[in-house]
Amino acid sequence: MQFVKLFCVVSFLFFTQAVTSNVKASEPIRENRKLEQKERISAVKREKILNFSNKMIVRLEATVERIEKLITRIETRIKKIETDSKNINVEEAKESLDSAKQKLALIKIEINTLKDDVLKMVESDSPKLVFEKVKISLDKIKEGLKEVHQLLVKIIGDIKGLRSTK
Amino acid sequence: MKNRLVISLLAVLAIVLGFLAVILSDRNIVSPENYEAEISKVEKASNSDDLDSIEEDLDQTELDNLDIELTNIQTELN
Repeated sequence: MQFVKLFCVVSFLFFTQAVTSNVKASEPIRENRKLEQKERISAVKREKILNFSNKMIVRLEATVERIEKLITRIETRIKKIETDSKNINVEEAKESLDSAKQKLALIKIEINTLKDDVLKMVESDSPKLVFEKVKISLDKIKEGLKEVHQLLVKIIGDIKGLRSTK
Repeated sequence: MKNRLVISLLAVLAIVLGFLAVILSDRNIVSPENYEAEISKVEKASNSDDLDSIEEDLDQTELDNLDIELTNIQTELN
């Protein structure tokens, strides 16, 4: 009878240990699953953020390209005026155009910084902090483009004025 | 009979609310077609060095909605 009792106690102990070790063994698996799930969610968000950012960057680069073409066209016009009407002084317009080109070159550098910051943002442990940098970069680009645009509008106005006064 | 009516109404309500949620969540998202049209418009410009033509292209240069996706990015981060 005592042997049966002892057998039951030993069996119970074995059973308890087996269950406990099984639970412990499954814990890391569960943790891994949680991590994987977390990563999967962030990967989806990362894709979305990159998609939105790429659209924005393509739009910015297309605008820069458009302004570059406008600068080239204005440059051609100024050269023609210089050749055709030697009595018209276009020096000021040329200086303003150089200034516009320099500003545009800085904007292109800032767009590259923006691209880097976007990549840093999606990989960062604190993306919201990097997002602030992205916003600052974007503001600089937008302001710069507006300045260049205003400069070009002024140049065209000045050239028109020069031609009408001569 | 009454139960069926209530269930039908709830189903319709759920569909309407789901539809509204989709519309509201997508309201800042530019559709691919609109986006392509927008970029084509930015790329489209004359090659003329005529002053009026340059002025016209300058006027049509869009600078106000350059970062329209920024709100979407912020939403994804929050």
